[in-house]
Amino acid sequence: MEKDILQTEKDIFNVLKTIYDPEIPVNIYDLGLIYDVEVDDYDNVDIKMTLTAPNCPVADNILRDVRDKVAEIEGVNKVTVDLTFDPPWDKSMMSEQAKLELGFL
Amino acid sequence: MKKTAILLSLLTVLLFSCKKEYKFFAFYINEIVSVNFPANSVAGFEILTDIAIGIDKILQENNTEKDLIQEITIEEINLSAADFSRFNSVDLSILTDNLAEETIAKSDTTEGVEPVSLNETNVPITDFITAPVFKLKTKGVLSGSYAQEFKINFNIRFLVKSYVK
Repeated sequence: MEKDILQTEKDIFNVLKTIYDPEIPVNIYDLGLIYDVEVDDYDNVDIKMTLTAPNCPVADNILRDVRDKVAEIEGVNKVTVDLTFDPPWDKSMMSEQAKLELGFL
Repeated sequence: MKKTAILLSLLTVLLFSCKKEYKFFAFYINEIVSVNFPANSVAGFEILTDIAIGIDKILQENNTEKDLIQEITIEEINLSAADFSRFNSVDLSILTDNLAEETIAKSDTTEGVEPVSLNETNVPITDFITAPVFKLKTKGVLSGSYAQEFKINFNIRFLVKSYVK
């Protein structure tokens, strides 16, 4: 059975919530690093994301992790992960849960 | 003043050295490979099939190129055949004129299980797939000798992990 786009997006968000910056105990989704996820009619996925800082010792690892785990989702065709620093990440982008976990609330 | 200028230049280089000019990209290549077993095949034998998937065109269509590929793996291999009872086992290897043979999938050895399922060996195959032509070697062990030729299909799904500019 063909998966619909909403289900694919849901699966993508669930996968993103399993990926961590090794130095921060909050997943990249709740950390607010994911700016945009688009799934087109051909199940091609475009993810626009950022990092907490542009000096990026683990940037490649995180981006590779995002690409590889999203590509493994059933029904996904192509995955493009685009890194941007516009706008730059700041603490306000974190979810309430993340702020709580990191002691900002 | 000169020192400040050097420090500023260094800082600029550091700041922008992490700025990516490429994106991380993954896509699939699906290939169906048909293998004909000749009539009166003996119980155990090998068949070589030349495969030219047109990798250069595929990469071009996906806005990437060989130098930007990080890894190509087999995501899935399924075997389809009209009659699986003819096989005791089917193994699949990959090779090129310049690269030594690697086994990429082995059939489940459980007897009487149909359809025959293949287990990928997860060996690195990037160099094989990016070659203009590679060969697949089918090693079949048949359960007997069959008077008529028959065909099997391998449905192979390659996962290409690369950068795009």
